[in-house]
Amino acid sequence: MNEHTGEVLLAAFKENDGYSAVWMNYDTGKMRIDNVDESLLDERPITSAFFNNYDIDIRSLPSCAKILTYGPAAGGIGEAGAFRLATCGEKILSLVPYRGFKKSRSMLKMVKDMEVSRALPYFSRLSGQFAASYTTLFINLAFDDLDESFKTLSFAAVEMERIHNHVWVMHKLANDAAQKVASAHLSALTEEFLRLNSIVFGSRYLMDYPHLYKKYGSFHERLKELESEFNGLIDELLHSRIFIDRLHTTGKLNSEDVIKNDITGIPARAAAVPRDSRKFSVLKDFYVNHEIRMEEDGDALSRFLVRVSEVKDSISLLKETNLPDKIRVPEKPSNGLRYGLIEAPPGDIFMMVHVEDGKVKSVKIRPPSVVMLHAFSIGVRGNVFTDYPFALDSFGLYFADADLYGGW
Amino acid sequence: MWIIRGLKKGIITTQFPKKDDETIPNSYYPDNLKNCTVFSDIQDFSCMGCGICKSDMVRREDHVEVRKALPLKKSVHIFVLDVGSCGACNREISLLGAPQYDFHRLGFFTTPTPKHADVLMVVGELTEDMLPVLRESYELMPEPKAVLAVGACASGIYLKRIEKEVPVSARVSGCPPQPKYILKALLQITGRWNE
Ligand code: SF4
Ligand code: SF4
Repeated sequence: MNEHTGEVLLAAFKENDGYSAVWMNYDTGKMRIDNVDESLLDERPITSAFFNNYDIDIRSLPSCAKILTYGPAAGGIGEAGAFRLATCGEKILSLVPYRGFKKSRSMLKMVKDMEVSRALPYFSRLSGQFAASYTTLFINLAFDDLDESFKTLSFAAVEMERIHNHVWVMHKLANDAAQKVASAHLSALTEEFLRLNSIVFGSRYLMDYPHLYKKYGSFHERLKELESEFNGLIDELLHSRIFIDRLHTTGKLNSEDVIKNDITGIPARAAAVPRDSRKFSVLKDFYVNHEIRMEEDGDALSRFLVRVSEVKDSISLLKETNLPDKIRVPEKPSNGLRYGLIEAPPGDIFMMVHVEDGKVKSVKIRPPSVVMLHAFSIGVRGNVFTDYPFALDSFGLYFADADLYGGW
Repeated sequence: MWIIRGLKKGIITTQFPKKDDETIPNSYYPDNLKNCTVFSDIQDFSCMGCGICKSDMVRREDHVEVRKALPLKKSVHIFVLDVGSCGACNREISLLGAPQYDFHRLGFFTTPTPKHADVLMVVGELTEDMLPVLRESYELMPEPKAVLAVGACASGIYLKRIEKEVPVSARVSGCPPQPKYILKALLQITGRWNE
């Protein structure tokens, strides 16, 4: 296990007079922001992901290589997003994301000069799959009056979000491996978690949970039923040689790739690099005893196994959590510039919010999917086309989320 | 053993549309839209059900409006086009294939190309970059064809932008809409509702 992972370049933003960089040390939890010059862009490959300026270097490819664009409407991505890839047929020689088709960028601009309470629904809808994480992070940065019951509710919402996303990724991987029965069971289980979200938090995707929450007496009971269903399905799926073989060695990133490319979240942990922001996040008080779940191989199977462990952990944590009878939605804006992290399902979100006179003045976001897209572009190189869906789905990324990168 | 697991579980597919299914929780909406603090020109299809307006929030059905039906007896092929969504509407559409809904039993299938599609399902806020893709997708569809705008973005707030490019035959509200009501919209468009 790699004990010391050094400082990670978490984000970089273009400023009027150069660049600002956000650095994070996952061993100590220390985050710092400084000004850097353009040489950073050459030194750290992840900056291509941040600034969306990827290019396929044709000179490094064999003469038979052809460059294709895949997306944004067709091709099984399922979202408005695309990839450019180079191939001579059979193998993917190089692949780069091609993003910028999504609405999210305009969504972010809409909240400028808006009162913080009115801005909440927008933060819930920046990235539908990670609505609880964005909402919770924003509330923690933009409000001052969060009480214990509200914090408990936020923690529960974020953990429910981890579960439904991880189970959905498992469904997609089972489907990719033509394990139709397993895939159907896992999509049914996702639906059951979403219904539970709706009953407890008022929204299937946990949007606006602070305003819609209602205590549900049978929460733990239902959770236990779903836990037993989950454990049974996973035991069964891990007995399938076809499933294991398709994921094993696919979309592999080793620990050197992770470190060189400033990768965080699930792909880092799946390559035995302990990058997990839970202990340093805005919800850190709930993760004092958190153990980072890791695997060694860095492939799609390792990422799957990390997710399995994390779902089990999330359910255990939720079973020990007493949801509040009622909560008080924070109302008091916290003026000033604040920044922080939250561990969303695929990896951490960095957000910086400037509030003045109770209004949102500026926001900067580094979404996890932008890092996942970069990790995918490295992991998929050299894989054959038939491995493409396994590699892609194993990162649990969304273009809607990746397109949030940046700020105003 | 998957077979035993399946048998133990029994049938989990909803009886909807034959019978209403109250085990599926509806989304929250305010009891009136007058107090909306998000939109100055709020209407039913734009409401996100966010609850910040301090109206009483009640669970109710998503709205479905069919302007022009496309009665079809055969299997219906659907091309889903994300023109700038947050991602949640996309997942709800994917879940129509989950065993609880199993929309294939009612003759609905998704297709990866508009060339085989009877229905174009549009989700999200139409962005500049997706505008030509929307137009082209519609043009590539064979006649007769229908467009279903899904979710508050496509069917409410940004409906006008979409309508400028393609004729919208039907819409469903919700942010995101429940799979059950997307299914209802599909059944109504194709003349299979209460068949
Ligand atoms: S729920 Fe939200 S969108 Fe709907 S009327 Fe209230 S404030 Fe407006
Ligand atoms: S309607 Fe709501 S859920 Fe659907 S894309 Fe728009 S914001 Fe997302």
